[in-house]
Amino acid sequence: MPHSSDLGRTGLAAVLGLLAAWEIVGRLDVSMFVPPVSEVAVAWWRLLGDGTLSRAAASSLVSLVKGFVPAAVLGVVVGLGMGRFRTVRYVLDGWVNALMSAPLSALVPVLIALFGIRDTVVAATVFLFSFFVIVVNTLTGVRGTDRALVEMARVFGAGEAALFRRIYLPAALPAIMLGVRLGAVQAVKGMVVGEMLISLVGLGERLIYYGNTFLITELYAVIVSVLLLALLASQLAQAADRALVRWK
Amino acid sequence: MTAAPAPVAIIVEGVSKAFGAVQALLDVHLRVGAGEFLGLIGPSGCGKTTLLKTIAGLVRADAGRVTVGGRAVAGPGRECSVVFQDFALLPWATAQKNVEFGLLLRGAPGAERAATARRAIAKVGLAGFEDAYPSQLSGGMQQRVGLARALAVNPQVLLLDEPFASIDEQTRRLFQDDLLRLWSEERKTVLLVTHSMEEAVYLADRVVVLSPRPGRVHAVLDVPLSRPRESSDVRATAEFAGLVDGLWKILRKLQ
Repeated sequence: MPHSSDLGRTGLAAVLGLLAAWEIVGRLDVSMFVPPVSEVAVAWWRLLGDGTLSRAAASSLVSLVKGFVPAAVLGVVVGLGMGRFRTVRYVLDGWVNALMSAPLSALVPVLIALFGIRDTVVAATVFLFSFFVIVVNTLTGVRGTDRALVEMARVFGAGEAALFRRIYLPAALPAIMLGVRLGAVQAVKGMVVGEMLISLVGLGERLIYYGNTFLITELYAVIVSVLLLALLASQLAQAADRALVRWK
Repeated sequence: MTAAPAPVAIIVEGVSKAFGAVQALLDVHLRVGAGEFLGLIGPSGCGKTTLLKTIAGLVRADAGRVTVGGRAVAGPGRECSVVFQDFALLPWATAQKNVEFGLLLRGAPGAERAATARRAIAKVGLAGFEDAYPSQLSGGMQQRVGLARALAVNPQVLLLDEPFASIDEQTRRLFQDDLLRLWSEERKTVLLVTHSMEEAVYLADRVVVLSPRPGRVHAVLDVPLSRPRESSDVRATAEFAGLVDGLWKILRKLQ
């Protein structure tokens, strides 16, 4: 079975190739907006060392957790409710669909008006960005439950509670975990958008600061940090998925 | 034969059921003796699965009455269990956990559940596959898990809804023989819904023919073939061929 390690090697080669190309273009001095990747790496290391990045990332992470955990818990609960109860679905369907496709950054000024210029706004933005995709995936998972399994469970005497726990929830779990993964990526987006708009704390604030002061190398160092954070969030969600959905 | 068993296991009296404008069942009457193996056959859409689900308590009849083991059916009860056409196994659970599922829902304690399920798995010839997931088993083996799950709750009545429809021919014949062997050991009442005339004649004591739209009992055919029929050459006899042909003559007129 050489496939997965081959794929891993191909992926690694692609990343290394991209970095090499970046370095070459940077060295050719095409534009001040493309510094060589080695300089970005040096800047990243320096910003990590003097505490700038770690302070910003710590603040970002706190907002991320404060927004994402409630979004995941509430998203699954609302999704399950909408999946099982027609009334709940009818009441919420319009809202969920509208807000899912709405440009949510437009709501950040409302959040600022509500909470003031504080990190709470960032957590609230994270929540809004990740909540709906989790709701919709959970809902889809519940609605997609095999009718035959429901009938089988009823034959053996399952009531509504047992159906929920023994059939609908495990049947929807792969879709729920997909929603959580997509939600985790959305959450990082929400975090950066919120921080950039309030320009007060976290990695987003650093992006705005280095962008406005034309410290391009440092700007890239922060962008790389955000990418790493997004990757980490998605990997964590994927690990949780694998641990919970072992049968697939 | 010590205590005399209840003579009739299933009584269906004047059952009608419509889905919207489609009259699936109309005034169906049926009696199935305790320990009897009854086949139920008819053209597609004749309501045979609806009748099975009504007996199982999954479908509520618009009119009429169903009694199973002396109890009027108002919902799924402990008297019946069902083997489903597409197996209806939990894909996230092992064979062992799937067989335990009915016991779990009926509140059996953990240790008893595991032991009963293991016995049922051995009975259907799947010992050693307890930890396999359904996706790792062939169709025939998956249906054996379905049968073990149905037997594990020790029902009086076993309702089989086209159980061999999704299984290939050789596997089906071996499985049919195992089913007959289990039936003679366990003395359950069996109602088998099938669309195979050969299968109905091979397995059943009597075959009930339903007419389509509205579904009602059109004919009842006795199958006087001697038992045990498993691992015998009964399929090759003229008597068997004559019975299948008789069933075909009835069904042909219904198409």
